[in-house]
Amino acid sequence: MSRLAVQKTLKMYVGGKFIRSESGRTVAAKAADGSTMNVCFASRKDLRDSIGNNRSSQPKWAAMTAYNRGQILYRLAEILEARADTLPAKKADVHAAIDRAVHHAGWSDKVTAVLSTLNPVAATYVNYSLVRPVGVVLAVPHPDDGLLGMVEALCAAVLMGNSTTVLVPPASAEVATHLMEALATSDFPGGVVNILTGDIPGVLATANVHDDLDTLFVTEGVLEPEVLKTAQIEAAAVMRRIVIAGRAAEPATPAHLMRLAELQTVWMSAWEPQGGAAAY
Amino acid sequence: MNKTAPKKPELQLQGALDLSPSPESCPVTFRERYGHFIDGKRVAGKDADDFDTLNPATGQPIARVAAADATEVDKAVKAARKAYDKVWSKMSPADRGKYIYRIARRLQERSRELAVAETIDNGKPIRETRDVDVPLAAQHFFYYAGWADKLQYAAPGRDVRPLGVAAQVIPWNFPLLMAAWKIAPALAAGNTVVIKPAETTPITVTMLTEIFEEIDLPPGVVNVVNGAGATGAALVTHPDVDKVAFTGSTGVGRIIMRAIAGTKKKATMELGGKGANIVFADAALDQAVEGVINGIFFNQGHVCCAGSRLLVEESIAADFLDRLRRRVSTLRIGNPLDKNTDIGAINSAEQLATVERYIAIGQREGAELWQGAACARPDAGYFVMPTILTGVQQSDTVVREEIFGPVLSVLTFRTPDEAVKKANDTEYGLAAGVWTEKTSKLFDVAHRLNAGVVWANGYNLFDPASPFGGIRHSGFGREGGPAGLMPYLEVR
Amino acid sequence: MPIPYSEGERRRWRSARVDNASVLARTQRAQKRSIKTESKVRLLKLALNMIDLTTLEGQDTPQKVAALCRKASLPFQEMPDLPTVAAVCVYPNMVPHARKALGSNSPVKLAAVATAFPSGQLPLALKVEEVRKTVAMGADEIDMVIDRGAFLAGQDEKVYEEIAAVKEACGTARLKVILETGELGTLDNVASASRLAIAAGGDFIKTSTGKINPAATMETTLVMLEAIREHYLETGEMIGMKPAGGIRTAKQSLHYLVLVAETLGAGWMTNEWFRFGASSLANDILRQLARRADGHYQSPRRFSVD
Repeated sequence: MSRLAVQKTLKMYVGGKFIRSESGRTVAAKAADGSTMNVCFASRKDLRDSIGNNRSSQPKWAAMTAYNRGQILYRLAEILEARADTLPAKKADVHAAIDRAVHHAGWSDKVTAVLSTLNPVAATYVNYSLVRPVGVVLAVPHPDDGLLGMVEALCAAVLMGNSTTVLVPPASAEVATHLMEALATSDFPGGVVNILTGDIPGVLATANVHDDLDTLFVTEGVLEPEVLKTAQIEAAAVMRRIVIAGRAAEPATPAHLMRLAELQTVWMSAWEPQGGAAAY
Repeated sequence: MNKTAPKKPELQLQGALDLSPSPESCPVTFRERYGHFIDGKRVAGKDADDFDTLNPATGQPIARVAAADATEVDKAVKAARKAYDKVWSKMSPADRGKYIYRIARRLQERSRELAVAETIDNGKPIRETRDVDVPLAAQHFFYYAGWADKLQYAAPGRDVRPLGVAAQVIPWNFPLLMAAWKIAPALAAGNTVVIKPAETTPITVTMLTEIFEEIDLPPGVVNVVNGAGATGAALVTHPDVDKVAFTGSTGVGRIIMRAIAGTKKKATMELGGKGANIVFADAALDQAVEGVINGIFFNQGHVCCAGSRLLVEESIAADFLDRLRRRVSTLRIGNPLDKNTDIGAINSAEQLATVERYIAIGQREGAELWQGAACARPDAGYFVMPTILTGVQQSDTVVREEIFGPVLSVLTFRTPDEAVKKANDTEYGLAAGVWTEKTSKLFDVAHRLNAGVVWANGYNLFDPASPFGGIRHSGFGREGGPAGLMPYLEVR
Repeated sequence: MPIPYSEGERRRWRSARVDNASVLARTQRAQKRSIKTESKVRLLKLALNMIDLTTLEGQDTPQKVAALCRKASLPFQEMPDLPTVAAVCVYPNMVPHARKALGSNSPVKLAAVATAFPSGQLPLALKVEEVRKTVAMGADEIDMVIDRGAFLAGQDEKVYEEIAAVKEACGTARLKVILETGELGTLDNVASASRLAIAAGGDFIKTSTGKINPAATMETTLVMLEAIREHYLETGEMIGMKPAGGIRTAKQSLHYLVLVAETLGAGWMTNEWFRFGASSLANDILRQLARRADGHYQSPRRFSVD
């Protein structure tokens, strides 16, 4: 006689905690084994809470050493590796995602060196440009890129010190739940990476009018042209950056990561009062 | 000396240096009318909607200026496209670089004439056009000329390509310099250009087109359309434009971003600012005074990155303000063509009204007004005395909004954390300054300021090798340095 | 009015903070001032009137000093209405000759370097004796050197006491304290030494002996003017300033006057409070003034060397 299974409602992940939607809303989605699962469905307030949580977590994350951030990203790869066999996805895809986390873990303490410059100005100043995080990023990976898409998006978003909310459709919730569990045990401070499951255009409509969101990081092909256009129009109000990423098959390069950062140029007055240009 | 006098000693700075007029004498012949420059030809443009450009120091008209309509803008974009397809993208990078070098050299050779023309059309002092605007413009062309054959090193490991036709809209505060900031990297990266100068300052960009003729720049590589907002709108929304580069107000930047939403156009926005200049008690105070002066009174405060908020440590605030007022009392306001003028004219009657309105708002909200200079404000023309507003609060209009004039709002703080918090308490994020002789504090505060440019013991310094640009409402993208190439390149 | 030495005072002197890059920018800006026509003539005459016409050579002779004094009193025969220079500046041995040449009622002051100029490497008692004798021989002003070695070693009290002792030995003669900025290494040190010299009783502070490179620069002068300003605003006491060495052209002297006017104001635009220590500057100023007078660019040969 077959046993009656316990049905699990898949939660979302915000601030290091597994949460239900504050609206209490869930939707049904198909699991990998063909069964039906219930998935929490992000409301407007869930997004606001997540962004607020990202905002408060970001400065501490950015203040950690790049070495430390890299270790935490690597820890994510370790945890995923340990769970690789349990993930409801093709082995090759899971391994690609794990390898991607390892790849980006290695960037965290190198990308600044690659992207920063020492600028030879014609004045008595030492002038350098360095990359700083852009702040809070809403990442929308391509659902077809599966776990790799999520890992690529979150790693690219956070490795330089941003915090992010990753938005996935309910159909991706099963895989996303494994990722949440890995995140929860991989030393990420709460709120650096949040994951919401919901209707992408619907959540985006809220994100569009959230002035404290710094960057929208979407993979090409996820949004209908009209949805993207609306996002661009709304972004103008606060000069929100909109970054369109390529599909996850290729990792983000420093040139791409640059778009998730701000270049800050610092002029430091130098010692020798000789030569150089005029006052300005 | 009267030993019993309890009076606080004060210096007699006003009138201490009585200087005869010293006007720059280089002659400039203005045309009666300025049209457009399309496909290597001077186009008179239509009479409809044409307008005057004025000398803001006198309020008198200099010349008529044509306003390009959509048809003329279309011609300019088509010329740029043709030049891109047929000439500029086919040319060897080294040759592109050589054309840009030629521009730089001719700019230097015609520098005096350009400086005078800029001063007459814009109102800024000849001291600045001669020492900053024109030489820095030439330096920008020199800098980016050298990049033309080195683009593969701008994004190592990636393939980079030009974008195509760049539409550029520039402001009136640094007309020639902003043209250089826009045109030089665009051309070096292999793009062609249609640029629209601000309607109040069209002259030096037109003179730049004479240089393009002199150096045989292929027709259509750079096109200039004159006009106001409608011309700019027609330009940035033109379907065959690949890239939009804008410097100006955040308000207009929003309009442009909305107008190009849904297109493939890449954009860079260099917008407004409300820069904080933080002075700690352990700063080199007399030098910090210079920095504050450079920060807010350079170019009459018509600088997007102006240090319009002074944050001074409370323990030295009174002393520092005394020093500041003394130094301001030596600044000369008046005829911009006089080589000794420090403070020139406000660019337009409209901007004058804006600045005066903000000063009135500041006073209404409780600010205490101090104005000073070495001499009186001229009667004719558009002038505002250097202005210092004290007793203001973080929430006051003059602390939050960009005034774009010679108006400094003064706030105090007690700790580095409070200074950083107040400096970052703005929607903008273009530039900031910090003054202290304590190195650890200098680095810490400099790197905690949310601004694209931070001057540590300095202010309003510019260099083509140094990336410039803002965060948040101050826009995105960088101009200057290798970073300044990226907005004009597709990275594959 | 000397300020008594104390550890607290010493800490105040030594807390001077100067940003080099900004000082450079400020002096460059001062050099952009364009001084033309009437204002040029007026300021050149003022600059001429501020010169301490100097000869400090081993080969100086009484004849040379006498010639210098004549030039000081009547800089250019063809333009007798020009002002005299402020002072002649000579070695102590030349003081009697200069006094004789100038006479007792000359508008030209007689300054002498003393205190084992230029090195200052002599015991204090001997320095004091040198100053007393020099003043007794007729010097109106004494240009002393500080012990730079002591200053750089942090022996501020020693430097202070030397200045105070020399000041006392000066009697009514005015004391100019040479910091020899070219040996101080940093503008912070220039600012600190300026404060020290002012506190110890110097009537003037002076950049250089002229025997060390670099001598006067716009940057060191600005920092010293700022120290004078600070002292004046705190106490109401005016201190004089004398850049010396390396100022050879009329144009340079005008740039210095811009710095003085814009830093200290009208009160210092007189030879009572500002001097140029120079030898060849006077002739270049005369060339410019003669050019304004007759419209010809002048040959340097028109003006006597002494």
